[in-house]
Amino acid sequence: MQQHLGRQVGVGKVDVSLVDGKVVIYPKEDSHFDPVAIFKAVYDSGVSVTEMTITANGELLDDPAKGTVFRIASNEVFEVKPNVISEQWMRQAGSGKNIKLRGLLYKKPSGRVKRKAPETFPLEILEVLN
Amino acid sequence: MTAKRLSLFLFIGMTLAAGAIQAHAGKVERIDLKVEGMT
Repeated sequence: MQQHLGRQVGVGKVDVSLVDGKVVIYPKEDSHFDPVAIFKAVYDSGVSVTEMTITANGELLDDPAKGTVFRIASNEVFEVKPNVISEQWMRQAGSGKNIKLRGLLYKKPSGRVKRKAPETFPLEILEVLN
Repeated sequence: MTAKRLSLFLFIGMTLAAGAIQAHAGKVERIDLKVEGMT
């Protein structure tokens, strides 16, 4: 799996821990982040994703149509699941300030096995790192 | 170079610079996955 993921476009380094089923991917500089592609690449290597979190820099923006969004780049924008942290940040810092965060993009629903990548990846902010 | 042409070059340069900054506003530093089915 390490080799398979490491060959994916935009992947700089991959650490795999067999014992606890954890994989850490370090993207290359200026690479495009595509959670669906990661989902698929992991599945193609014979396992399935149960949880995906990211550590990223970007901006929290107030989008009139989607609500709060996390914008990493012009083509990497994620809707934010409102929680205490996102609401507090928007209230204190306002829209458009740079933020470094750790956020949950996907968690497998309990019960049935779901192999297909979800269509959307709403971001739940777990902690602000700056 | 005419003033008109110079201002056109400046406009194009500033537009390109703004686009480059906008395209790389942030960055994903790491992606943590929990997986199942690994042997």
